[in-house]
Parts: sequence; structure tokens; C-alpha cells
Amino acid sequence: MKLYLTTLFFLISLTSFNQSGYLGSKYNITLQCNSVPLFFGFKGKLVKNKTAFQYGNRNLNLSYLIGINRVIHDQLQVGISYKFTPIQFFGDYSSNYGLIHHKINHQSILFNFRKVKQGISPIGRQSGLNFEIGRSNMTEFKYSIVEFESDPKQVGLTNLRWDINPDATETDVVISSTPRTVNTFIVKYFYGRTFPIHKKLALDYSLTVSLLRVFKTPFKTFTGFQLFNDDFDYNELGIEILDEAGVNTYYSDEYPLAFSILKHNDFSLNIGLRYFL
Amino acid sequence: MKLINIILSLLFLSITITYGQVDKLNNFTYLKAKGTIPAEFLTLSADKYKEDFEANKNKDLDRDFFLSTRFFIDELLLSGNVLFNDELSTYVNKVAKNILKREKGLYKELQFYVLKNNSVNAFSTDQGIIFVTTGLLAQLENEAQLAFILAHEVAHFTEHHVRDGYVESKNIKKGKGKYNRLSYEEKVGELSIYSKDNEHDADTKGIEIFLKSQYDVETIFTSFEVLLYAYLPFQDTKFDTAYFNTENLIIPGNAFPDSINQISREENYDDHLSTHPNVQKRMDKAFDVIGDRDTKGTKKYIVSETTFKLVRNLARFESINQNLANRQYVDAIYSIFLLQKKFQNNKFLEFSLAKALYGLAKYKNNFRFNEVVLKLKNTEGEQYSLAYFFKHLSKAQLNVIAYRVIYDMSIKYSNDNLLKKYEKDMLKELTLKSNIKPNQFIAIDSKTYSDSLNSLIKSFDIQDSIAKIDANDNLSKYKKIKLKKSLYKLQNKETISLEETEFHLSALADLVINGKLEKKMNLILAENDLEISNSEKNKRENLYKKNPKEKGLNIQKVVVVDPYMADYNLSNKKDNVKSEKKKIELNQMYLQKHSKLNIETAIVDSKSLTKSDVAKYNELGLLYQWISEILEHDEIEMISSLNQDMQPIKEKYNTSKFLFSGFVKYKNRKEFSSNHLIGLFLVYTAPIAIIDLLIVHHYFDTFAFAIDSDNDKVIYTQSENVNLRANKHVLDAYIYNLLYNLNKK
Repeated sequence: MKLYLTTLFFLISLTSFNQSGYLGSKYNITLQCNSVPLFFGFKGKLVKNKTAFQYGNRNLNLSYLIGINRVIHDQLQVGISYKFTPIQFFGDYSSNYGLIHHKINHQSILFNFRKVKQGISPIGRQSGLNFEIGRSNMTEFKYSIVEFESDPKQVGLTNLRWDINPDATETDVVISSTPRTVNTFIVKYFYGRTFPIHKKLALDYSLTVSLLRVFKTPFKTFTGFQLFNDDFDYNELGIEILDEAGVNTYYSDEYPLAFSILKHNDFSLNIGLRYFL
Repeated sequence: MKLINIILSLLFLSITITYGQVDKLNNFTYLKAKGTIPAEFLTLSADKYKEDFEANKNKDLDRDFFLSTRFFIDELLLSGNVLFNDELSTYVNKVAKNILKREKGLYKELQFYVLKNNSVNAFSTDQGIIFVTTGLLAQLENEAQLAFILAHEVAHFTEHHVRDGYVESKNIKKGKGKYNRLSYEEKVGELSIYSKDNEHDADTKGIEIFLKSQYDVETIFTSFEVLLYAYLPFQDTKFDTAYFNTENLIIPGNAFPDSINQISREENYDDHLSTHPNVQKRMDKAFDVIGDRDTKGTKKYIVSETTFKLVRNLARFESINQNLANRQYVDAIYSIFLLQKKFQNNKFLEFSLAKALYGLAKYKNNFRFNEVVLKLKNTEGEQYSLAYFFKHLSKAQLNVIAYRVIYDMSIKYSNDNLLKKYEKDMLKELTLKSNIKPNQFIAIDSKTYSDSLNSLIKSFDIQDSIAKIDANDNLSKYKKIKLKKSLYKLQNKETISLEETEFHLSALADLVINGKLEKKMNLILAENDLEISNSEKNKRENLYKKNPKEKGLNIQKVVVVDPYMADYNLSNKKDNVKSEKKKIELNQMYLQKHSKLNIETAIVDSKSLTKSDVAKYNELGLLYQWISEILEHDEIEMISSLNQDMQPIKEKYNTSKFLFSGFVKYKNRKEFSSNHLIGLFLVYTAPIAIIDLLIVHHYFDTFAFAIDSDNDKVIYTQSENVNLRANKHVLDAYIYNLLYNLNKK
């Protein structure tokens, strides 16, 4: 698939006839920051020297993108980018017991196709598709068992904080340090604007929504749609974990690796700069 | 001896003047401003507006008044249609100076210009600019009438009717004071009454000014008469039914009506919704004002009768240009007919006749004839006869008449390229659109042909034919009835109708005899067949191609004509000050050089004129007229009436491509909609809904079209509504893209 898309991209670039671009610039480089608001996911952090737990900023989960684009027509632009998403995920294990903490690096190559609806490519309002081929590596998987105080405290206007009972806490137990990999293929719908602010620079702002997500774990290939099913058995995700006795088991918490990646590729708001070559 | 010398000198002078005049009119093209451009034209409207507003010490007028009047007047001044330092405006100024001889201070406050426009009008502005239209000058009978009309306009200025009218109309519209609780109709009525009061006032004060001069007081009343029939041509003379006749083209008598629509307007016409009182009331009032005063003025001319006549003729000649550009072809032909009585063999008039007939044929062939010829019921006076004639001609007949006239003229002026162009195109029309086959033309003169047709009908024995029909058993009952009905119809005719009179088939007899016409027409038909087959072949070839390669225009140089910029504010009103400023910036963007493009731009712009740019000013007026005519033709591909006048501009800028383009910027706040309601209900999208409601949305319209002055064809069009804020860089991008598209190979 990757080879096919790469070939397709270059073929389009080669066969494209002359086009104007922005003030004659056919190529441009994009630097972008994508923020994924995890509306319904939990993300928290240990605070007060690990004596308390409170929700973190669930709406600011950044990923970074660099890419090169080529205008092939007044209304059309294609591009290729590299995206890096460092995922730090915390979740409450049960109502008042336990925490999960894992770090994942998600890297992907994006092929994007943009159709400018109003404006002259690449300037103006545009929509299109992103095809992302990616790979996620779990670099660290820690499991901490803690006991919360039952009543959370209000922090600021919206946040809650739970104090931790230090006597009943066993922190930073590394469950597994073996790198785990999930391959992904994601198709996203893109809608946004590119607005020139200088002869060489433009501001990009956009949003992306996933249309199709395919995950391939060592055990199983599944789509994002399956995860929305209430009856989905997370055991099927096949995240293998060794228990204390060294016996293979399947970790079946509700926030596993794939789910993290899924949430980070759900809906994102993007802002960036475009430099015209 | 001395007396003889004086008489001889005067005679010589008079001959020189007369010949000079004829020469001037024979070489007439279009009226142009001359000399240096007055300072009034060169100052930015925003600066003038600020000055006006600051001078308004008593603050009785709001900004809107100064904004609207200043920018409106400047738009008019910079339209290129205002004449200054030429024969017409110089003459108007001299007459004005005469009536204001004793009020030199007032004269210095005023500026008099002539506006190239066929409406019969004069108007003054609050800033002391008085405009007289060429339409008015064309209708006047003498200099004294012009003097009275100028005095009337001067009175409007001295009495501040414009500003008072603005304040009062605002009060009426808002229902302030005594206008409280008036219905809409009553408000319209009040506006009309107020305006009429002002007109009476201007008449009264104007008469006072006029009476101080030596002009004939009687002309006050004849001026009103001129205005009464201003909607008619400048003369009402019976149209000569043999006007188009030549050796071969003989138009039958029944082509013209026996009677005409009589002129309906009376002095005491209903004026209850007019801005001006009717002529009867104005005459009565004038009569009262003059009363028993000792009026010494007896002169109809003080400045010069010769100059008046030259000025009037120039205005009449210009009215034909205006008619042609406004597609009023019948009006143009009638004016040409009137002027040719005096100016026979005038090249301008002959060319104009060719253009008018060409225009009529083109519109007839494209089924848009009603756009250019008024309904007969709306045509009054002797011009009715001409309108009736054209309305009743068949497509073939009109094409033949137009071709005949244009062909004859192309022979007469055999060195003229424009006429060759017209002749070529008209023959194409005749061949492809008039439904006549080349072999249908007859090589006998029209009269012989028409007579033979009539005699054929008269000698027809109906009884014999009916007997033959009855005896024919092969015919059905239905067929027999139909045939007999047709025969009885024919029997009842004394002469055949115009449609049936095939006079046009013999109108080109001289060209038919030598076989040239048929040869030319067959060639056109063959070329057309080839063109059709090529275009079908191209269509077939492109059918399976997703992106058939478009042929680029490959333009190396383009003249950008007065780029348009309008910036609307949040209340959807044009911000004139901002628009003017942005327009000046926009001009620079068009002139910017782009290393990646191989296209050069020149600009003809109204906001960058200097006092020596009078040529550019005239070009601007011509370009505007040219473009508006071409746009009116829309999909009809035809040579513009200004094609020839465009040639010097084309040569000056060394390109035939002209670009008209602009941007209109808007901003607004969105109104609360069901989408916002849904957005607010879905908690996470609420911020987006709120932001969408609060922020100011920017968008703009952009348009551009390029015209090739070689063939008067629109070669490129583009219009788009863009949902972006049109900052400098966005505009730059759009201009670049536009130039790129023109330059593309």
C-alpha cells in the first residue's frame, strides 16, 4: 500500500501541468501542530510529589508534523508529511483503585490530497483526505497501584483531585519493558484554511476527522469501528503481558494501547505555518 | 473700397468657418476633453470630502451627505465622459460667463462641464459643479435657451437646493416633524411636492439672473418647449421611404406605415409624482415672474451663432455614438437620416449607418431584436415610421439591406479596414443565418422583380384553378379545402405583404451577375462545415479525456483598465474612503512585476491621473463605453461600434488585450440559525457556535474579464465568491493567478 501511494504521489507530481501556486510557488513546506481533544478519555497526572492524582489537560495532546506539498492545479494540492505523536496516557484503573501509565510514540507518513473550494490552491478554504501509514511503539508500560481518598477535591473551576493514601500505594511497577508495535492505516477527512500572511508564509488552520482506522497488532487486525461496540472484548486486542508468575496473560483494561492510538487519531485541531519555496 | 475689403474679408472668414466646421464634422470620431485636466479631477475624493465636512461649520449636514455627494460626483468626473477645454464646454463656459457678467464672484465659484450622455438634462451640485449633457445641447434651438437653463442651474446652487433637498428628503423618509404619520404614498407625494417647489424656485431665481443679461426673454418659454419634447429626436421630420434605395435595392412602398403614432405629450401633463412641475405650470410661473418688467433682452446669440451651431452639431454627432454604444440602432439611423440632409457624404454618418444596420441584423439573427428596438406603441412621431419598417422586415430582408449598405460603403471607402471587417462578417451572417441559399438571389433589379410578382398575382384566374382542384380525385377533402382557402386569400390581395415581397432577392443583383457572391457564400458555407466537423471531432476526442488540455491565451502584455475596489462595512454600506485608499493600493499590485510570469502590465487608471494626462482621461471614457457595449452584446459575437476608435489605444500600448477586474470586500456577523442552536446544545461544539456568532466574517467577490480589441471578443472571464479576508497577500495571490491565466501558453 505504502509503495503504491508513494508511486501515485510522484506520478501525479510528474504529470501535472504548469500551475500558478501562491505567487508562482508550486512547492511549500508545512510545519504543523495538531491537538487532539480527548473529550471522553481520561488523562491525569500525579501531583504534589505523587501524593495526589488529578485530571490533566485532556484537550491538549499534541502531535507534530512536517511535510512538503505541491500544487498541481488551481484547485488541487498533494503532499507528503511525517507526523510524530508522543502519547502519554493515564487512566484510572477502577473507581478508587489503581492507575495505568504508558508512553507510546506514534510515527506516521501522510499522503494528503487537498481540493481548494474557495481560493487558489494552496490559499483558501479546502478539504481533502489524508492517508496515514503509521507505526506505534510502546516504550514504557508502568502500572501503579494506588488508593484514592474517596472524595475528590475541587481544583480550579473544572478539575478534580484525589489524594492518594501512601500506605496503600505501590508506585511505578514496570509491567513490561518489551517494545510493542501496532501498525496503523488511517484515512482522515480534512477541512481547513490556508491564509497568507507574507509573500513567503501562510497560516494553516484546520480540523481532521478519521473516516477509517485499521490497526494491526501481532495478534489481530481490527478497525476503529469495532472499538465503538460496547460488546467489544478488549482481550482481543492481544496486548500480551507477563504476570508476576511469568505466565502469559492478556491485559484487558479499558484503556489499552490501541485505544490510545485510536483516541489520538479521532478528531484533531491543527495549526501550522506554511513556507513557500 | 474699404467697405468692399471688409465685406470680402468677412465672406472669406465665413467660408473658412463653414468649411472648418464641415471638416471638423467630417473627421468626427468622438468628443474628447482637451488641454490640462482641472484640479477638481485630480484631488482624491477622500480629501475633498474631509475638506467639505470640516467646512460645514454649523453641522446641519451629516457625513453621509458629503460622502455620497463627493464620491458620486467624482465617479462622474472620472468616468472619462466629462468634457473640459473642448469646443462644447468652452462654449458653455462662455455663455455662463455672459449671464453672470455682473456676478463675477459667483462665476468663479462655479465650474461648468459637458457630460457625454443622450439624456436631455442639466444639473448642479452643492460643490458648484454644473453639468450640461450633450443630449441637451443637441436639442437646443439657440444660445439664449442654453443661457436660461444655465441660469436655472446656477439658481439651484445659490439657493442650496441640493443640501436642503437632502435634509428635507431625510425628514420625509423618517417621518420627522410635519411629516409624522404619513403613509408611504404620502411621503412619495411630499418628496415630489418639495422637489417641484425647488424647481419653481430655481425657475424664479434663474429668470432673475437671466433678465440681467441681454438674452431674448421669449426664449425662456421656448426652453420649456424644448424640455417638453425632449424624449423625441432632435427633429421630427418625415422619414424618406426611399432612404435605403439604391440601383438594385428598391424597398416597396408598403414597407412603411401609412400613418404614425402621434406625439401624445401636452403641456399640462400629469406631474403629480414627477420631480419637476409640468411645462404649463412652469410657463405660467415664468409669466408671473416676468410680469410687467421692462425686459430689454432681445438677443438669441451673444457669444456666437456659428459656434452654437457647431456645438449643437457636435453634440448631435456624439448622440449617434451614444446611440450605437447603447444599442439604440433605430434612433441612430433616424439621427443619421436627419443629419445627412445637411452633411451629405459625411464619413462618420455613413460609417455609423453601417454600424447601426450591422447591429440590427446581428440582434435579429440572434433572436434578440426586441432588446434593441422599442415596442411600436412606445414610439411616437415620425421616427415611428422607421421603427415600423425594421419591425416588419424579415430576417433575410434585414440581412440583405445591411449587407447591401455595408458592401456599397466598403467599395466607396475601399482603403478602410474596418469596413472590410464589417463586410466580411455581414456576409457571413447573410450566408449562415438569414436562411437564404446562395442560388436564391436573382440577377434582376428589385422593381422589375416586384412588378412581375404583383402582375402574376393579378393575372391569376381563380375560377380555373378551383375547377382544377375540384376535378382532382387524388386530393382529400381536407387538402381541397386548404388549397381553395389559400387561393381565395391570394385573390383578395391587391399587393403582396412586405414579408412576401421578396425585394431582397434581387437587391444584390450586381453581385449575383458576376457570380462573385455565390462563390463567396459557398466558400463561407464550406468553411463553416469544416469548422463544425473540426469542433465535433475535438469534442469526440476530448470526450474520454478527463482533463482535455485547454489552450492558453499566451498574452504577453495587457492593459489593466481602472481596477475596481469596493469595501463594504458591517452595515453593508460601501465605505467610500476605504475603498478609494484600497483601490490606489490595488493599482500598484497590478503593476508589480512577477519574475515567474512573462507578462507586462500597463494601467489606465482614474486615480493616478496627472494634469497632463488628458489623453489617458479620454481613453478611460472610451474604454468604459467599449466594455459596456461588449458586455451588453453578451453572447452575440460582433464588432463593437467603437472598434475603430480603439485602434489608437491599441497602438499606444502595443497590445490589443484589455483587462477589466476588481474586488468587492464584505464583512458581516452571522445571524442566529438552527445550526447555532444545535451547536449550543451539543456542549462540546458550543464554543464554536458562539465564536461563529461573535466573530466578523470576511469574504470577497472577485471578477475579471479580458477583451481582445482586435475582434471585440471576451477572451477570458472569471468570477468567484471567496470566503477569505482579502488582505494584501490574498489580493496579490489573486492578481498573480489572473495574470498567470492570461499568460499561460
